[in-house]
Amino acid sequence: MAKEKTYVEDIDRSMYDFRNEEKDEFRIEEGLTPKIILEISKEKNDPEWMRDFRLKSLDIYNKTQFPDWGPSIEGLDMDNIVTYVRPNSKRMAKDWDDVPDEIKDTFERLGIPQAERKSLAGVGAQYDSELVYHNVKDEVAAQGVIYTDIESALRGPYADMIREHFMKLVPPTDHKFAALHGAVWSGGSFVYVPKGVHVDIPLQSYFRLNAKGAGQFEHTLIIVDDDAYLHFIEGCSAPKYNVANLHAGCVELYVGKNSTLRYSTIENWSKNMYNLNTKRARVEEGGKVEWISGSFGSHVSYLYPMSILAGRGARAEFTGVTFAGKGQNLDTGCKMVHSAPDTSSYVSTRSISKDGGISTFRSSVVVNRQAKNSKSSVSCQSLMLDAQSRSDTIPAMDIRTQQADIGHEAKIGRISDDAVFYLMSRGLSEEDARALIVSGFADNVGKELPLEYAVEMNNLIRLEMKGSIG
Amino acid sequence: MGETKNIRLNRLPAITWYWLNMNEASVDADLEGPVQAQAEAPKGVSFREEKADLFPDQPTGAGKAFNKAAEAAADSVQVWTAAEGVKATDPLRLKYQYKDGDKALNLVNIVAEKDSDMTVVMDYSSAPEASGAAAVQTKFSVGENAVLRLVQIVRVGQKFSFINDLGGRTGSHARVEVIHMVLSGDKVYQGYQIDLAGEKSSLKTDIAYQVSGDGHLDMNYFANHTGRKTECEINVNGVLRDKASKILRATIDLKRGAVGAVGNEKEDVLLMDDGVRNQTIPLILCTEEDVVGNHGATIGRLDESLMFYLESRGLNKEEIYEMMAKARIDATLRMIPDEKTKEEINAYLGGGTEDDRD
Amino acid sequence: MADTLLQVKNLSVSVEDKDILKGLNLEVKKGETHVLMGPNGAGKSTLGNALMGNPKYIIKSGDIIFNGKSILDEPVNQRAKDGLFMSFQSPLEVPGISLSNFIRNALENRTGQRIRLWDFRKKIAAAMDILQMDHAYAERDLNVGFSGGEKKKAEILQLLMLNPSLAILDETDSGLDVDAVRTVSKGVEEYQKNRDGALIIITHSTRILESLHVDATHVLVDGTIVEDGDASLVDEINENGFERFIKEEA
Repeated sequence: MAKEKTYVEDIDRSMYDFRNEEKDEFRIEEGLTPKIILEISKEKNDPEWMRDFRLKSLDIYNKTQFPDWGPSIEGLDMDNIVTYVRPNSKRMAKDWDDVPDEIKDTFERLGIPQAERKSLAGVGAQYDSELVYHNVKDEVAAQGVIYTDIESALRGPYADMIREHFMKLVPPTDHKFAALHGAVWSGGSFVYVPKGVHVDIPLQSYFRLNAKGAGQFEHTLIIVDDDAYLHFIEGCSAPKYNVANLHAGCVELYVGKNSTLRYSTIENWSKNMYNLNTKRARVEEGGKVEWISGSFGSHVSYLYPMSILAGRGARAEFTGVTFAGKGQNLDTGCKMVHSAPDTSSYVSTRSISKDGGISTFRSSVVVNRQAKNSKSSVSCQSLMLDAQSRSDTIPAMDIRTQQADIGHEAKIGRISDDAVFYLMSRGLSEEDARALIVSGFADNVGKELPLEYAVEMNNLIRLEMKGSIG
Repeated sequence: MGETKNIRLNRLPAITWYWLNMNEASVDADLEGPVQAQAEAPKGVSFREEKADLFPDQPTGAGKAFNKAAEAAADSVQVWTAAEGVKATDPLRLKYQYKDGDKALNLVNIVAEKDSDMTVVMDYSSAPEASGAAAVQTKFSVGENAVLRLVQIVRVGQKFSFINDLGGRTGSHARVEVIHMVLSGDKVYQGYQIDLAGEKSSLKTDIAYQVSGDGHLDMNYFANHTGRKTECEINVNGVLRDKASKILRATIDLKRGAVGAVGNEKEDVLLMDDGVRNQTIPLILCTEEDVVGNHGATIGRLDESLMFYLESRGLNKEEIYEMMAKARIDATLRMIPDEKTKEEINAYLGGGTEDDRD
Repeated sequence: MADTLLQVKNLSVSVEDKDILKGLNLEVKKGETHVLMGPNGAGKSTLGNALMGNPKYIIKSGDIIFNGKSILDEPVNQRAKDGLFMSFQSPLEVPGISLSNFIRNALENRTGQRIRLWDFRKKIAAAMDILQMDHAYAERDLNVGFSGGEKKKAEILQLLMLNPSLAILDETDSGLDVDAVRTVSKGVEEYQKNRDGALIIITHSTRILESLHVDATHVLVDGTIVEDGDASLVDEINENGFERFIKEEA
């Protein structure tokens, strides 16, 4: 494993360098039009089916309502949505000077190497990480694993496989931002693990951080065939800064019979971001999906990884921590669907609210009639660090068979004075004591992450606790 | 007013995904005049009838739309008051007996003034084959240091639908104990909003229900903590049989300012047959740091270890399930602070006490 | 052997994918008291649970013969009706049913006959007196809010009332203070002498045995019985612990 994070050099010209073709006419561009979608599709050299798919998605997008049950998204400039897709010069941060100070500060405090900072801020001059990415790619290729960017794979030997699976788990009809994603998606990874292969090293999306699309609408499609194992890590603890403040990504995971897919994420989008991400896994007989999820950044988040337990004995585990600080409204949780017998789901989440932050745990467990002998256990704990913040728990259960064992518990409270006293009596300052307690509270996720990620996560928590992150 | 309106009620204080279809209920309500309740009032509890527009503005579990419809449809409110300092030794018993074709609406206001102590039992029943619908909306206020024990029992026939709506407010150091039993009915909508406004006021709620056949029970409970050091404890025990369905929305809201508040909510649902459907959505909303909130839910069949324990004493599966189903209802029945009502309901449940058999 | 009550033949049992009992053999005759001892983790509770039919315990091989017929395929409640009883190490709480109603229910089930309230009340009062249990416990919900000692007494109360032919006592004295152990012991004695019941007493300390008559002692280590003996074996273990047996095993 590389000691320093490195990433792919974006050698392609950004698709954003569009020229207005009708130079002589005065054009007003409002919203997304089919013409723009066609232009995008052409730029990407989409196969015909993908072009049609984008157009259909646009249609669905235009006909779908915005969600009104969650945090407000009025900060999103939906009238000028086209600018998210085709950011004009006014919107792109051209250079380092345009990057907000708080972001630069965070890089400093998290100890991000100078060379990486600009890349994370999306302002060009990348550190050459092509080598690392390719090394990883070659290593797993020896096991028969395909790990590549999804756009080019659309025209490769795996084109049919992708077509069969692309946005079938998360159809554009799912919600408005899934439809948007279907229309304008750009960039992302495609991973295929063949039968019986145990992938030894975790694959990381971080390697592809600055590839085409700058992560806003990236699509991750992972197919793990039977009897296989994969650990995929998405994100990192350093904030990803983007002037265009919408992230509407999509992750689709297919877990074959008796296979296990572990999907770890540390989401720390910068605090101006609207993170409307959709993640879904489908698990076949005997398979297991493990979600490890740390949500730290974003101004607003809507994030509910969903697991569909489609085969007998399938299993899903969701371990998450959400930290909502000043100015943040993070609405996160998970959805479990039991559609086969002997399936089980386990959820353990922790959430922390501080400085006026709003954290909502929102979940659903649906056990269908045919899911005989299913088990589900949900446990969510919330910590309020002051009386300015907010923490809500909105869990739902819909059970349609008698042969089920369903348990649920939720707790909310504050940091125990006794615990702080005890730590202080051993020499810690009050601030350090509280930070330590909160780190411990987030341990459900910490202990599931590879060490360097856990360390990063703890650093992040310390910084959040000190209030030094903007 | 006699026209059927579709009313939405029992809405969650904080809604969630629409596809779940659990945010609220909708009923076709066609409510007319009140039925005459049979009342047994103890010494110290006075009665008067008031115009409906004097009904307090207190929010209830059913919500705004239902409140508006009720106010429009009703002419009068029955008001029962325990005056300051009155400790009523016997319960106020109100019996509502419905018959076939009824479309009744009653508004009731219960006032427990400062330092008073009052127990009210409201029993809603009908002829077993009666088909119809009725609603009773009860609002209460409990004054400083006062105690109100409110028992509401819904046992209308399997073809009769019912709305049992409640709303109330507590003064400082006041205590409210609510016992809700739903023993039969076609579609039953029930719930409350209780504003724990008074400092150190507390609420205990014990709910037991059994739904069978094609019955449906829709509940919305909302404990709204605004006062300092307020406490609530909500226990729900239920049994679902045949093709019954039920939804429980239970919210504990610990609002900013409710420093030191404690809210506990616990649900246990025993699923007996394979056609049942259980929906549960227990909310905890919190904007205050110095609070404690807990909720727990257990849904499904009987725990394996429990089955083993009871089977090891010779009982078979059916017997154990029947015993446990009855136990859940009995446990709450036994809490009713009125022997007369307890006996009557016990008989209704086909019990007879164990001791009566000889 | 006409008076053989229980025969355990080469029993291997696993739980949660771990093999606990490995080819265990045991024979108990009517009215006999057997003591099963062993270090923690030896598998003592497993035997009790397997005999009683706990579904979590999988019989890999071997047989359990009670009253001349194999009970491997019998459901738990049928084994109870046949005359088996187990006093649980951690009795569960069952709200909504009083202790006395529960016992009466179970008894009527067993005998298939209604029991007159008056007779029942006398019997249960007498049993509670032997166990020095406050009669008020009869009306309390089964095990709800009972202290550890009271729960164990309630188990022995059930033993006396249900009158099985073979009772398995699973660590009945653990967590009890000196007086409680004595009282529970009295209850077991009553069962032993006046009801002619057979007993398998599973324990890793010997306090409960002090006033009981013991016919045989078995030492269970690592899933098999490594030594059989008479009552004197109990004294030896009292003095020297299980070291000898573990060393021998190794």
